[in-house]
Amino acid sequence: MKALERVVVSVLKIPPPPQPPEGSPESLARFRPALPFYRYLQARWALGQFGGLVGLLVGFGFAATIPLGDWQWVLWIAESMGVVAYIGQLGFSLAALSLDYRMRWYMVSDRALRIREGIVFTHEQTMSFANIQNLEVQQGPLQRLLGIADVEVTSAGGGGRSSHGETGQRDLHRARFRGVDNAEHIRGLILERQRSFKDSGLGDTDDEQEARDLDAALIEAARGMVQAARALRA
Amino acid sequence: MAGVRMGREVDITTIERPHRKLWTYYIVSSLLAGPALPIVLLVRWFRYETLRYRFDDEGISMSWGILFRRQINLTYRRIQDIHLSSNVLERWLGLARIEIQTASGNAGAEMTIEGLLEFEALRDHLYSKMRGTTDKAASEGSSVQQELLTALHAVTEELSALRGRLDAKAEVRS
Repeated sequence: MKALERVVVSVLKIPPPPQPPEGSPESLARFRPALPFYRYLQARWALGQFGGLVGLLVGFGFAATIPLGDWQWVLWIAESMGVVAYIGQLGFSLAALSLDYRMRWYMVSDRALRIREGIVFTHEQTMSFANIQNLEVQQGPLQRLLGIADVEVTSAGGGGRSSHGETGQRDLHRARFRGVDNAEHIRGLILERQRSFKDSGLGDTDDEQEARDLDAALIEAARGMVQAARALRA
Repeated sequence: MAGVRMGREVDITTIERPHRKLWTYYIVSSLLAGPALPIVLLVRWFRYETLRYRFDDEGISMSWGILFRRQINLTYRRIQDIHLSSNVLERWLGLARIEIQTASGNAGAEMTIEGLLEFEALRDHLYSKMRGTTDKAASEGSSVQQELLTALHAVTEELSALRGRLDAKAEVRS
């Protein structure tokens, strides 16, 4: 099994675990999806497969009822091809789940977060906390049962499509920590690190904040001077 | 790819053209187009032949096209997030796409840099130029303020020293 997996990883050329994002190395926190997430993936897989099975059975019903006379065999061939494809994909998609579960890396440094996922299409996403707009924790009924949740981080910019659909073009403004069992901890960590960036995250320069801090310090110093002068007169 | 991962120094500003492997990728992925293959391949050939990148101190510009020309410019500091994606075919060829996003109203990438072998080094480079990733040294304007601040503090100190002296004298007199 291990050997097979190694072959698959090398054929798919799945890149090695990602490098940590910029930021101090001590602050780096790594997360992984929790084991129940694997159960969750399996449950979803089973549901999908069940749907496929129902579709096949309905197809059988059609093939039996539609009167085509001498051409009836065409339908039967199409139907049996469907069955073969269905059985063939069962093993592959089930094996893919395990890889999909393991080939996920979530990293949070003091400046940025990085998420790597995917086996056929790999995707490595990097967001700096200065740019993060909002933070969401999502949990469906099945996920609640398993004690896991998704943490979703959004940066500025719109998108016609939501990222909730698994298929189609993904919304690149969203990053998701899927299936973690310490969602509250991750949320707190991101909020805390995000707090150090006080601007709106829409392209303000970094030094602007610095200049504002300096202005405040100047006013403070001037006030201190006035106080000292007053004390002198007294 | 191992070399890139080891952090081999790449001079980003010298990158201009995509690698030849991008053309290979275009050819192979065009096979998926089926009967439309000649048209797709022609369009992609033009794209490959005219694709130019330019990385300067301020930002990136990227242009392509013969009949319909397109040029995209974006500044490093406006980058919102950076993605590195690849499919199996691209990985076999040692390629990956860098998808760059700004805060405009689009779910997709504003700029997709493809066909570069140094994608990881380039990604890190872009990332280091992005806002919020590194502490900027105090700029010129703020150094003036800094001096003013120290001067104010010095005056305050002098004033309170003066007060101290006065107090001491008053005590001696009484």
